[in-house]
Amino acid sequence: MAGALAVGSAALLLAAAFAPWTVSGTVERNGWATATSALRIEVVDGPARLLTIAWLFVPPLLALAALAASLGRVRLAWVVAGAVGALGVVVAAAVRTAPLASTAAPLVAGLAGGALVLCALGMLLALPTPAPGASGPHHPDEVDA
Amino acid sequence: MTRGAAARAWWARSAAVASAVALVTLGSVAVVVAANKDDGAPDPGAAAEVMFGALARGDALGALEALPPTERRAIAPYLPRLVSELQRLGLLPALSLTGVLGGTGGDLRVEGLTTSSEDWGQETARVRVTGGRLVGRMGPVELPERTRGLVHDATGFDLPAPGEPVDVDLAARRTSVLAVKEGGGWHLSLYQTIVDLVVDPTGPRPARPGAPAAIGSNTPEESAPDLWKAISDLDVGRLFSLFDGDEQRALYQAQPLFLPALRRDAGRWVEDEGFGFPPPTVEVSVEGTGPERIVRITRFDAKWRDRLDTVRVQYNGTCALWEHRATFGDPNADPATFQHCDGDVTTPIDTSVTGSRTHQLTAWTGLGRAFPTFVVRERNGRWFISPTRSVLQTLIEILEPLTPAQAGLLLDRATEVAHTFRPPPSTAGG
Repeated sequence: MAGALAVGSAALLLAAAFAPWTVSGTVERNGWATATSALRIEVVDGPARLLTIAWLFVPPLLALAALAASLGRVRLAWVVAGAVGALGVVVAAAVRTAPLASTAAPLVAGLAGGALVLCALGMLLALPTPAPGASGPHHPDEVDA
Repeated sequence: MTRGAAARAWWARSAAVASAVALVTLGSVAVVVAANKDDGAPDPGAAAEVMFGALARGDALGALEALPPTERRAIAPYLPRLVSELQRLGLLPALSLTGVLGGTGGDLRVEGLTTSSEDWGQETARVRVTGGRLVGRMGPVELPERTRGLVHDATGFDLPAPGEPVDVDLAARRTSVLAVKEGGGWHLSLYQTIVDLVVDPTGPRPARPGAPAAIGSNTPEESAPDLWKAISDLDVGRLFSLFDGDEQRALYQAQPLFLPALRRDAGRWVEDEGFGFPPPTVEVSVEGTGPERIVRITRFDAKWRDRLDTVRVQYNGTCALWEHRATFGDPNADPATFQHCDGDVTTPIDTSVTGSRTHQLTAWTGLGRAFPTFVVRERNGRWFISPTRSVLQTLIEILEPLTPAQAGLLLDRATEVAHTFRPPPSTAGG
């Protein structure tokens, strides 16, 4: 159930990031273009700049979470997913409070990010402590041998 | 699970892993490539096209991006606070800064833009608009009438009304801008263009090899006193050498064009007009750490004179007291005085006391600040004044304590400043 909710939230976050986030004059910018513009004109610095750069890595990070899950690294998958969700919340909040006209897309992304964070937190707390020496799946030849 | 089913599952999982690895790799590479892409347009004409397009669409973000990195770095960090203050005071529409030009319902655009560019050397080019029109209609957002009036007083240009059709032949206006190459690409330079408007168009192109060096000050504390010392010495070269060379590249490059004339004028001022300005007493406070500091003048005492007027100004960190005497009048007579305190936008400046000769400089104090706040930046152990940051920081500090009810007064004072540079038509002729 949490897995399905997380996948749905991640998909919604990703879709919202591709929708228009800010409107400057008659020009609309999606979540990535808004972040790129903010970096380029240097209105974000310090930790905010690092977060904005990290936001650009959301698609590969989500792929990384999927990769970790498929390799059986469930804890890593949830950590990455939770981090992506938190990024979504922080970046969306920053855009909503910036002195720029913004659309509903960052709000949607923020909510999806929040859901992802909750799923990740819940699952991480529910996961049993890994046994020493536990590892991921093996080739069937190794399993059956 | 049978051996075959397990193998199929293993291959399926491996395919998923490979896909995810590919996505992670490609995604990361795409971000890194995008981040390292040349900043700017491929040529000067394209840079102008990008800027005109952004302005026509009211795209403030796009216009900022089209500026050279050194210029937008000085402007952009201050814009959120500045816009927020202007909106709080009702001087800009609360909806959004950018809704005024384009916005929902507006469709301004540049059509058929053609340009020619001329290499000015040192990665600078003049771009002339040879064809194209600005067409469409203004966005629906109304600018406050007072703001509109101030734009008219300061520039002589009437902004079209909301929704009004616009059709401007850009070539007929002989539009000419300067572009510079920075960050791997071409950008339309605000400062180069302004300097180009000021220098004699019939003169030689900027003689860049002779541009003076940026010298700066030893410490942040010395920056403002050094500035006043240069003013007192009428040493324009030293004055400009205190400014941030990266931000004011245009000023440094063009100095050989106007510095000799300014020096001649200064010499004439001293010889013919008897101008004298002994070094003033300047005390400052410095805030902040790191390579950027805020410098405020906390005490100032200066006297200047010419054949007609002798003016003394004393500032105690809060109020400035001006005293005026006729240079060859009765030395025992009481001077005419005028006091103006920081934050006061109610009282117009009394030019009979502050002196009409320096009115273009002293009129700014009517905005509620005797002195600007200086933003100074460190480079190679030297400290330079950043004019753009100083102006924007000062403007924000002027706006912050005001209430919306005082916005009209501020505009009155700003209009007076504008009139010192562009006298209103009723007084311009006589």
